[in-house]
Amino acid sequence: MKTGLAAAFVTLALMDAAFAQPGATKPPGTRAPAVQTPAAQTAKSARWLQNFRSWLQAVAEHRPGEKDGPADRVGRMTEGELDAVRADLFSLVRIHQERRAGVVTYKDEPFTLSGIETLLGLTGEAAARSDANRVLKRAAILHGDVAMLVVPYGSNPIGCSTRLAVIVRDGRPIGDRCVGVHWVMGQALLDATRPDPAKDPMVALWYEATIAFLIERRDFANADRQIDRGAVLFPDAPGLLFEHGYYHEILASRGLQSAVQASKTDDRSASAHLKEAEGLFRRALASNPDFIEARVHHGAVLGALRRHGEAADELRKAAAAAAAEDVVLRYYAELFLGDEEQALGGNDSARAHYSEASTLLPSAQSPWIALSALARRGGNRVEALSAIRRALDLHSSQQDRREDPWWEYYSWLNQNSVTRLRDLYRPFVEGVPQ
Amino acid sequence: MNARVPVIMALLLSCPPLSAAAQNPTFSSKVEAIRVDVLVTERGKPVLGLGPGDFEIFDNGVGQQVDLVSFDRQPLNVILTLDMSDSVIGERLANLRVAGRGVLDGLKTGDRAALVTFSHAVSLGADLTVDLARVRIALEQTRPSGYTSVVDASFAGMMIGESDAGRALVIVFSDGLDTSSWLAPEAVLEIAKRSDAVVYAVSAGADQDGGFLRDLGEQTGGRLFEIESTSKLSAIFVQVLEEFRRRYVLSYSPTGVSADGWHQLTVRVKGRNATVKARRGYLAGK
Repeated sequence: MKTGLAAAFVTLALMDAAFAQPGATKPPGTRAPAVQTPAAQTAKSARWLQNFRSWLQAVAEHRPGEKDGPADRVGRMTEGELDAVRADLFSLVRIHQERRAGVVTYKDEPFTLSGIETLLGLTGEAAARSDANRVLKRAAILHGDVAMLVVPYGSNPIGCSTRLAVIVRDGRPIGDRCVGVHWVMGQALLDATRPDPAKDPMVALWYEATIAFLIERRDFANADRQIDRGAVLFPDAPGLLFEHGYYHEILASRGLQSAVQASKTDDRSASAHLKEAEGLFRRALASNPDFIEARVHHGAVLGALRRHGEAADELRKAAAAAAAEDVVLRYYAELFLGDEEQALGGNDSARAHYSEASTLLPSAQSPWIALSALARRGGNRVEALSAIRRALDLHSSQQDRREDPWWEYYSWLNQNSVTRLRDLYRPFVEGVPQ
Repeated sequence: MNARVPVIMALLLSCPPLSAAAQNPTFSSKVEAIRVDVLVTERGKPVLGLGPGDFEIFDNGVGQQVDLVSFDRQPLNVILTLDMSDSVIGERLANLRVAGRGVLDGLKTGDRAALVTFSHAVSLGADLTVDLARVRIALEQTRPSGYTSVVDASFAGMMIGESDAGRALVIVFSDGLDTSSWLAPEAVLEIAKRSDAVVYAVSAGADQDGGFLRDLGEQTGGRLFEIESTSKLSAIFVQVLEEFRRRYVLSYSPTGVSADGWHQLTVRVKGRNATVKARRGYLAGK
């Protein structure tokens, strides 16, 4: 979670514009390549080619995960320039794949096969297979980095057509802004990888890592787009199923539901989102029964759906299976289990689980508030007052949100974006062939 | 400001605070005095000078004998429960501080005050004290940051209010929707049925759902003020304090009713066309 004022901002998708999927439809602005004689070639490099070369240079020079000069340059490109670059890349790759003899003219520029290979950096086997994966993947990472590191939240430096998102602060819509075109670029580039992006671990990791980032930043407009495409490519990947379920769980949360309903961006109720989340978490657990984080969230969602018996069972399993060092997951499991036991009438057990949560994280406020409310509902004012004083004694007004993971529940991932992005970048930083 | 409820009467029930016996009233064998905090109005103005014989109280439909009426005699415990999340900045923060000071300035000798502030965390800026300067200092020292846990904070305010035998007035101010409370609103509303505290809430900002605070106000005999701007916040806080002072505190010993469960209450003023708005009832026993 970001700190400071921006931390309270979340975005929700309001409208979405479809981008052409490479390989499926012809990108806008693409001209059919025509075979021409060398006499028709022009020596003068057109402006489009200068832009394209500049973009390719940025792709080659960008250091993954850094807000560097190339990322800044690409961040200043207009939406139209980005559309054109993408269309040009796909067209040149297609021309190379067709392996026509002689010179092919594209946008009034003459190209030979070797010229395209040089331009795109295709060498060796990659050139023989017309495999542009390296440039496509590096470019996807660049555009992801631009979206994450360069394009500031709450502004839109590249122009906004129909892509809008509602900005929510403190649970209330306060304005709107554009959805990031760089995410769409990244998707389109990876969709063009060969032989099949749906079987490429790097592509899967790009989606997992970037979705984690967007969820942590509560940028649901862009997360929504990433999740949709990720689900199409990797329908059974437990990590993506979990993130997809988490997304619905967040949209069902108290803090977002009012904003969702008020913004009219989504006519689904909290209950509908919870049911969706429950199914996705269940599928994630079917793929990976040892996915403790998914089990904790599954239990929480079952509880929210008032399926308290199932919820308690799931949370007990999670608490028992969580490793000793997974303190936050164990904390969540115990805290939620307290509520489920209470709902099932087991007040003593509820008290024990809240107390265990408090033991796990002594600086957390929520278990003490829960203990106080439990005592007060049971008519025990002395215990209720004692517990609330313990809760209030823990905190000053400048409380760090990290001290009680409950406050981060809707933006916290056990394997966070930093870890996942590091894994994503490593092969590119180390020069491992992709 | 939304003034859809121009006349308010609140009914406050109280068992002796922190008394173990109060947790399990056994009306048939051991009579517990029930304290009832009441505001009576006619044509929007408080009706003063009423005595025990002027009131009728029905506990689950059974008429009760009103033993005692007091007016403006008991000291107040005022718990300011104020939103200090990210959105309370600039003029809004300044207005909130002025409003808080206004309430403190309106307290009399013997009255006590406390300051509970909340963002995502709930903090006790100053515990209940007659030393109002301490509360003033705490009010000035608050700094906004973070999310909004208005549900947890309202619960905490009520608990602090219950920590003393005085009449508890909880004034809750928030300008945002709850985004980070652990407690569910329904749980706190259920607890409010058992609480002595009266909650008045002020909710600032457009397009917001004051549902929880409205329900909490009605449940405890207070009410919700919904405002667009905080420019008149101080006047509202002072109005709340004055309204609370004009309540009668009635006392009766329940007879002919069960010891446990929900007790529906009806309060009337005999022989007058007075408007009576009381809390709906109280929850006794486990």
